Amino acid sequence: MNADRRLELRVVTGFLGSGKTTLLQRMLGERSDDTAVVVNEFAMSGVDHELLAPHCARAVAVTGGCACCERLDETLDALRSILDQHERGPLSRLRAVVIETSGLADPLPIVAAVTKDPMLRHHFKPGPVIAVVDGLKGAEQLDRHPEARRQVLAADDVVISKTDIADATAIESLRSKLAQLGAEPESHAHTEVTTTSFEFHQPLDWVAFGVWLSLFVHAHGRKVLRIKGLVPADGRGAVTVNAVNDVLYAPEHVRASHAPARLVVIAEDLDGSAIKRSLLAFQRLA
Amino acid sequence: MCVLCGDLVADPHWSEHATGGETERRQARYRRVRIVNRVLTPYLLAVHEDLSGTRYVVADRKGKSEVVRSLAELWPAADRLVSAPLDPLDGRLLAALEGVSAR
Repeated sequence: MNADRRLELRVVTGFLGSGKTTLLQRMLGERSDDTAVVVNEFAMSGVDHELLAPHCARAVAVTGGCACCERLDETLDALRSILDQHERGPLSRLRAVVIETSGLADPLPIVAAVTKDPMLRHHFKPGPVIAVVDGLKGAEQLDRHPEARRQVLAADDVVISKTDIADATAIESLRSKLAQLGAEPESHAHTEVTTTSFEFHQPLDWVAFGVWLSLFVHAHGRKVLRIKGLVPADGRGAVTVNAVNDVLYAPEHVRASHAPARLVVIAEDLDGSAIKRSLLAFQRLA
Repeated sequence: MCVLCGDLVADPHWSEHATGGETERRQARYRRVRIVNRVLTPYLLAVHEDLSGTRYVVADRKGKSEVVRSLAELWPAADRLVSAPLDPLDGRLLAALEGVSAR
């Protein structure tokens, strides 16, 4: 089998001033020649890409709006340009591209746009979405700003920043707020975001699961913010499941058996118990 | 492009990825058709594989049909044939499915 030569697309998101660039600097270390960065800033003139340039193979700025909406085309253009340089030689050692979103951006439409792009989807594979939450102001931001909540809901990993200057009680209350956000329905504006979590104690029938998931995302993809998980499938070991809206990434087999076998569905205006009932009803058809 | 049928060869849908060889792929397709039929029955639709074993034919009882390549195309085709969106969360569908599986 050919080695997977696609570039990993990682996203670092987080509310304004939460510490995304600092985290990214630390993640990149002294210098990561195998990583390029696309830095999105709401302001017209960006500075963060200057800070990141010494730490990576290439830093490209996309400024003057959010990468999820008014600057989405520019963000995709930046990825195409990096890919072009990767294939022509100057960035031949590249293995990953990180998009640092603006503080107000929703990371999911960016990932969805890449997975729908007829060219880019063949050259990028989805990597983790990391949300940075401000250790000092995070709790208040999560309360007041739907953008901050969406960033956390979209994330595979959440990093709390500024733990060295925030007091322990504030960090603890932020942790419980984050746990609550992931576990319970949470209302904002006119929609209700529900997180439905399934634990699997025995392997799923993969064919029946495929039938169910394909119909579920077809019927309700617009309401699905995210589906993520690792499910045990009969005869297949563990399989990753990863969807943004109605776009499903190709499931991948994972050797690790110690990982929790669970599926998380984050959706707007959908009844979690109906989702569970539906999944189980389809499993029984196998 | 396939040299035999002139068809454009697309990437297989994620649900069609098989771990084994041709036999496993065939078995999975056979089981997929059986499961999808149970879902389509309450809508008075049915699906079968075409002769090439690479496509599915979804049809209503009046003879209207559509040829599709994967589940990604099958559900929109079913929506068109019944002139309504299929909903896997619909309580009536789930009750029908639970009745089928209980028998």
